[in-house]
Amino acid sequence: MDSSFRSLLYWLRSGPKGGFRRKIAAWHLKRFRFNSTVFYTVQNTEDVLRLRGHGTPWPTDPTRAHLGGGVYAWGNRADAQRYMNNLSRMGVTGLKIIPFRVSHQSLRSFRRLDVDALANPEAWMARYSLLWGGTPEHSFEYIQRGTAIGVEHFFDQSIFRHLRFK
Amino acid sequence: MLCTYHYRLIKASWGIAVDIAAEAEPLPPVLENIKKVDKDLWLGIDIDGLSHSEHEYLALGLRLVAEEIRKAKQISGPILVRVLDLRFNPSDYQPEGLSGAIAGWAGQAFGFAVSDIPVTFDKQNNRYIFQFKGA
Repeated sequence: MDSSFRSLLYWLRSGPKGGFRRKIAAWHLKRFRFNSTVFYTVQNTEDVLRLRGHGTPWPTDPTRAHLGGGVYAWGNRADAQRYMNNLSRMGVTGLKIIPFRVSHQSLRSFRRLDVDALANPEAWMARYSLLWGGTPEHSFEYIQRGTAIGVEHFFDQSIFRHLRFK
Repeated sequence: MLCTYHYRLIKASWGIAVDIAAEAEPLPPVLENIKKVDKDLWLGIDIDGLSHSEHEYLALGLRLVAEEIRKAKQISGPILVRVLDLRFNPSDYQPEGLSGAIAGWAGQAFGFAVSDIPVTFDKQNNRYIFQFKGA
């Protein structure tokens, strides 16, 4: 979402209660909810602030950025909860589940890959994931892959503007 | 001496990636929070939050290479292996991997070649199946 559109939405939402501006904002929100998919990312307090801003600096640690800098998320809250519980028991504190939305139109437009659909997913991971000794020079903007928890959705930093956090 | 071993296994779109940091030392006179895993070989885990089965998989992994440790060790008398740090992402993790991780660590720390634990991926159940010899 670009900043001028964000400003327009803010202006509409700050209109008088029951007024025309708020009605337009509510109509827009309803329409967007209908035409978008929600994802859930697990972040600490510091990273929540980062994602509500410009997203930078992107983590680079292989356990947090194995396919590159961007947002790693789950397609449902239960998977996000399970992921968060596993991190919490290992002593990671201050975690929260943060939902965000991506419009169907944007999702369709991303250069995407479903790793599980490949004939040899482990070879792809070995080549492009930092965790397996690869380098994340894959040029995909949206990657799905099955994991031990559920399906992980990776959104590259280059399409961060399409992710709408609350 | 503290050393870190990076255990990596992948046979699908996800795998098992565990970084384990541990050290070996002569068995101290006071045996607190440590467990005997084989004759002359003890395990201490200085990490909170691990489940009972994770403790067991660490002990099993050490037991699998106990004979090799005995042959390669330069410390006389019983040895304590103390696990000080474990790092993994829950997306690419299964507790059985801890056995492979600590066995690999022992190979690196004591300087012997570790035989791979046979592992297959069960696609239907989305699980790795480890075949532990003599377990």
